[in-house]
Amino acid sequence: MKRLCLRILLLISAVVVSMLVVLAWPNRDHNHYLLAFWDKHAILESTPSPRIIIVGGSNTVFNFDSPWISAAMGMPVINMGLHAGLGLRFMLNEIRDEVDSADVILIVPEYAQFFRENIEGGRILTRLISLDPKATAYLSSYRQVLAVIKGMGLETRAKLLSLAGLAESPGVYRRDGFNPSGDLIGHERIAADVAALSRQAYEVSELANFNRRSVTEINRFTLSAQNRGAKVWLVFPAIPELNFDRDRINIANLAQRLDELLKIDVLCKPTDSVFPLARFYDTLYHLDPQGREEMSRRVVKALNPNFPKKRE
Amino acid sequence: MLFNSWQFLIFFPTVVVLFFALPGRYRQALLLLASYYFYMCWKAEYLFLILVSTLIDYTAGILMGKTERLARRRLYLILSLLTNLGLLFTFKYFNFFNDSFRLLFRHFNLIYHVPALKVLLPVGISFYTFQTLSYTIDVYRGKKEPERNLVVFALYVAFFPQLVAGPIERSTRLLPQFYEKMEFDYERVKNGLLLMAWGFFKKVVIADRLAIYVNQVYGSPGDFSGPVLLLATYFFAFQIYCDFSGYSDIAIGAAQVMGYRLMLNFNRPYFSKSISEFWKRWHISLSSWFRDYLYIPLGGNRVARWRWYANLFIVFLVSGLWHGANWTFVVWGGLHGSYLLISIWTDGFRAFVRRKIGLEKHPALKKAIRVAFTFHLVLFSWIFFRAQSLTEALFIIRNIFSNWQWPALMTVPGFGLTEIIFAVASIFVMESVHLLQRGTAIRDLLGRQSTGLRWAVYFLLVMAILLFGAYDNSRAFIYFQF
Repeated sequence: MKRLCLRILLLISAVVVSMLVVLAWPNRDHNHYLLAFWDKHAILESTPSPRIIIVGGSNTVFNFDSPWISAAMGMPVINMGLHAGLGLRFMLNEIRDEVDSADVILIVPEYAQFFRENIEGGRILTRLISLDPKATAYLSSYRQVLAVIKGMGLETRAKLLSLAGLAESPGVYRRDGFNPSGDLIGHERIAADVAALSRQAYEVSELANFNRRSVTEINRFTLSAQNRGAKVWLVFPAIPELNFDRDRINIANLAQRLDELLKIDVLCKPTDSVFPLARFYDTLYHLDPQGREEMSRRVVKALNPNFPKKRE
Repeated sequence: MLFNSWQFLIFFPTVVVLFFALPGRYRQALLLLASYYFYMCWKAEYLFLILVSTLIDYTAGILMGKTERLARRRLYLILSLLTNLGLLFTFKYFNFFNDSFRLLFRHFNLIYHVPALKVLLPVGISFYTFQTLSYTIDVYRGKKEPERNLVVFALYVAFFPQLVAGPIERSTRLLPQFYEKMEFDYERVKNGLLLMAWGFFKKVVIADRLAIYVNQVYGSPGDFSGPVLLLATYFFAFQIYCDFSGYSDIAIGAAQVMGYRLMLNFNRPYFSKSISEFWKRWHISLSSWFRDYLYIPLGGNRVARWRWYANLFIVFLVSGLWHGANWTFVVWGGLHGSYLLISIWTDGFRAFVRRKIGLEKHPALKKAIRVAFTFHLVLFSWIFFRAQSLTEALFIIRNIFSNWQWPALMTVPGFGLTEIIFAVASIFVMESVHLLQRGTAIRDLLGRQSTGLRWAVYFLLVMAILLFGAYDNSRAFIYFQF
């Protein structure tokens, strides 16, 4: 048995080393979408407080018009969103030490991030780290490390395809598609494919799959931000009418559970973020430019009563 | 617990290490506990059904062994059959027949008020029910002595490698193995692991990748054009083969690691030259079960010709129903029965045509045509097997040759040209391996190669599983639902 175990260990080592070599291979695509990560951090560091910081997945990238919100609220807006696959914990870790006393933080998690292990991230985290290992600075839990390890196989494959020139076209998902506030604007002149959208799956899970760690993490972040004097709100993400109607019970259950457990106020309730399917762009999470305008208007409307001085 | 899960990655090595570390007398108990834990990972309550089946059949076997009177033996057999088939009917077929009767009554404007049962289908119920039934029937027929050790018998019913999706083992083969002293044998363990790896390749690299395409297309066939429907049907043929034979390979390999020999369940079925050959190569453990416990008791072919035809057709209809409580499965079984009957009736005519067009002089061409023809007959039947209803199956058949535009093939979300190329390439790799092992098992072939080449193959196999497997949405094995 010893002989067999040694050989299996040798085989596993060869496989792991090969994967690490591929993952660490220098990246040729300097316009990779995820590399906007550091651009956003640069914007955050160079923008003085008070400022509005939007935290979330790719929904925030598509769904907010930061310059317009900035003009309406009279303070700069930095959209830190990038990809839900990075995990809620990672997103909050990213800005935890950057928060200043007069900052306003809008947390916009995807519905999925409240369920199962999605708070910890997935293979996108592996991809970001393989693009730039410095991103490991924002890992704070062994579960995130496990998520990175789990994603190694698929990311090695993606990297191999990319190195072989076989990667699929990134479309609008490019580093140079962002505006200086961190919103993705590369899709503004491209028409949405509503027929393709209607075929996509979207599901708000049952409460049985609720992961309490998501709330714990948001509360921990909020406490830390509030100790620094910042204000924190939760915004429910955009959802198509059809899907909202279909998952109405699950959404109501989730909202109620969050109301019981979260220590922050909800700025936009689930019903405030419902849009017709025609207002979505390429996925059921991403609004088109018109939808983005509307979402930004709704957020500003909800924010205004909290900032009476700004309106005078 | 799924074979393709992190839990199994921990569970299986732990069981194997404990199995070889423990003295022989404790191994049966270890395997039984491990098997029950394996099953309880799905739904712990349903272990109760396995326990009921086990106790009833154990007792029936013991009681049959105590009496020579045929009437008594028959009574115990009937009790066992009623219990096992009763459980199977309640959990799998009651709602299906209930709904069918409701529709029938409604058609004649009659009142029908039997409520539906709110039960989930217990995983693998058809498999372990058939396995345990074969034991009681064998004991009744005197082909097997009753098993007196309850732990061993319980292990026979619940042995975890083959508990939820077969192969459906026979008591005469598997029970005696639980008394054998299993030693650690490097070559055997290595070969078992290699077979498991091959099964994982078929499951996660081929079946789960094809599932992405097939599930979307068959989920809403109205959204897709002819070429997509056709490609999805081809893909499903390989998906179900790789899914099920992949499971069987993992099961056989896992048992082999511990020294147990499970029966071969698939033998390159898509290379069959006729439908009857297909059924000797596809899900062998089930088709041989139906042959031994249904077809032969019905009289087999030693009856009047019309009865023989009826027997064949009945076996295929029941086989269809075994696969699922839906009319689509019954039609699928009926189609295969019809294929077989038509092939019997047209045998002479087909031989005449082959002679006339000179095909007999070209055996390779003749074989290729027969293999392709058989494959497409099977392919056609898969439409009914996979469709969610008969209406959808007919819709797919009507539309499969409409709107022929090749770029449409790439309209399935998440399955672009690269994915299609990968899918086709992986099928090609698998079938090449199948062709290579026509004469010799690939493991024996590999064993004769140099160390470097063997390690390169192991390395590539593991890399392929890790790199090219579809893991985004973990998928259960299709046959678990049966």
